Amino acid sequence: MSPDELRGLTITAAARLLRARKLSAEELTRACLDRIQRLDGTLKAFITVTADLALTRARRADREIATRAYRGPLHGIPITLKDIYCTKGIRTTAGSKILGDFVPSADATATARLAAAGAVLVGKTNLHEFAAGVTTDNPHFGTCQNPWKPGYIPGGSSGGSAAAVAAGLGLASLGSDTGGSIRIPASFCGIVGHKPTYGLVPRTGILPESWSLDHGGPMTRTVADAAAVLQAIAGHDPRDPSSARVRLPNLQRALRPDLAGVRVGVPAHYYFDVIDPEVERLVRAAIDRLRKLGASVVEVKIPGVEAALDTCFVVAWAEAAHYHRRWLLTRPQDYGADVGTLLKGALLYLASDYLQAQRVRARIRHSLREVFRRVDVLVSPATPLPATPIGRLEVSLKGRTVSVLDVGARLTCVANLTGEPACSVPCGFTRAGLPVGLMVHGPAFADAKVLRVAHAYEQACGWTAHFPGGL
Amino acid sequence: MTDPITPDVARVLADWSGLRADTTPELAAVFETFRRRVERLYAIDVEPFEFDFLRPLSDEP
Repeated sequence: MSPDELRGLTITAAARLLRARKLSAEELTRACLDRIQRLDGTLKAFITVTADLALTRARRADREIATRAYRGPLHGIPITLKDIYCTKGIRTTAGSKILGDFVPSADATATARLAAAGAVLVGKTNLHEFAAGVTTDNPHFGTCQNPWKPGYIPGGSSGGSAAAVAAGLGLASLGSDTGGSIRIPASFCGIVGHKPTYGLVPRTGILPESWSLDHGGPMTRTVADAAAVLQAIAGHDPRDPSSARVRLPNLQRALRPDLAGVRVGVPAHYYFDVIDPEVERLVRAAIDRLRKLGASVVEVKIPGVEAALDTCFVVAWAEAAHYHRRWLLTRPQDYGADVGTLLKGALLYLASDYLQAQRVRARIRHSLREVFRRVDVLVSPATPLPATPIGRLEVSLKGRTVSVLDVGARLTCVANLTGEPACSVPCGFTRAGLPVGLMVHGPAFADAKVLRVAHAYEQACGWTAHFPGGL
Repeated sequence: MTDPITPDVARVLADWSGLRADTTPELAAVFETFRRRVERLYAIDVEPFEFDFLRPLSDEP
């Protein structure tokens, strides 16, 4: 098979071929490396390409599979990591100049778990500097492009991961999500991005942006692939104080094609108040499709959710400013303009400001818990707008001028505050050819149910079969 | 609503935060944005709600 024949392969399909030895891990890895070499000069999805390591691991996977030492669905699968996941002996920059030469002495827990599952690391992906933004317009490692439309952002902060998966430069990636950084780029790049329940995936070895909001999770072409990756990386880790002690069900088995008996809530306010009309049309059509799949759909109110963005902003930037203070005082010139300025601004927050935000957060969590007594999941747009042109800082939506950073995270940030699982699954394209994501959000530890709803929708609509033209 | 943060005030605040004084001109607007956000949060009644997040969600009742 040629590199371009392999470009749209899912993990599920590739695993079947690898296990049957109709495809070798080396062949698949070489196909990804070939595409990286051809396309990444323009896309700027990677900070580091680990070609030699990838080929070594791929050959090992082939030997193991040949001797019936098959490790599971990720064995021999080429994957990428956002360059915020520590990799032993491989530099981990967080997209920054500050950590430009940082070479960790140990793997992140998720990195190690993927390696143990037999996955093949082909590279570390570009991101918004220190994961603190939504454009992946990175001043140190290049401006990442949206594979669907040159000159448009891929979203962020895990923009390189999303672009790499969308362009077929790896079959999956791990992103991190503090206010939407997995789901925003997944939505903008037409892939699946799942932010798991807080504590399900250990944060050990993921460089922090905001300890109480940071989540690690999978970015893939399909929901079934996201389930396979999440299954491999989830589980208790005593080195992470917020790591959950729960047994994750078999996520693949939870995926079903129908939604009989599932109660779907659609927010009656906030989520559709500031929105691009094309996004609203596509998401409303997706909700109709959920109803046809057997779900009961009801409108719900979420008291206090209007404060979500301010709350997330104060908590995230206050925690980030604390982490960065040492460098803000000694190396301020080494930050990019946007991230450096916002971090400096956050140094001004008082302890009482932070605590007020945390208490508003508790109020929002209470509201969501009440909502999830009445419905199984909430559905909404992942983002109120599609990808924007590179360099644009503000947009006009329903007559209001809003910043791309604010509107990008407006809806995703709610699940960061509550710690609940939320997944973005493609639900169509605008007339300009830009992808739009449907967000499915469920109660804590209901990751299987969230993925089930996203999977049923995906199977019914098939948007994930589309591939960016020209790539 | 309090008075806007002027560049002179921003310089004092930056110094108080430990930042270099020469970084202040653009900071006045940023400080103002940050302050407005937190003022909106102080307008919300949080009396029944404690700060309760930093434990694993699996430990919650």
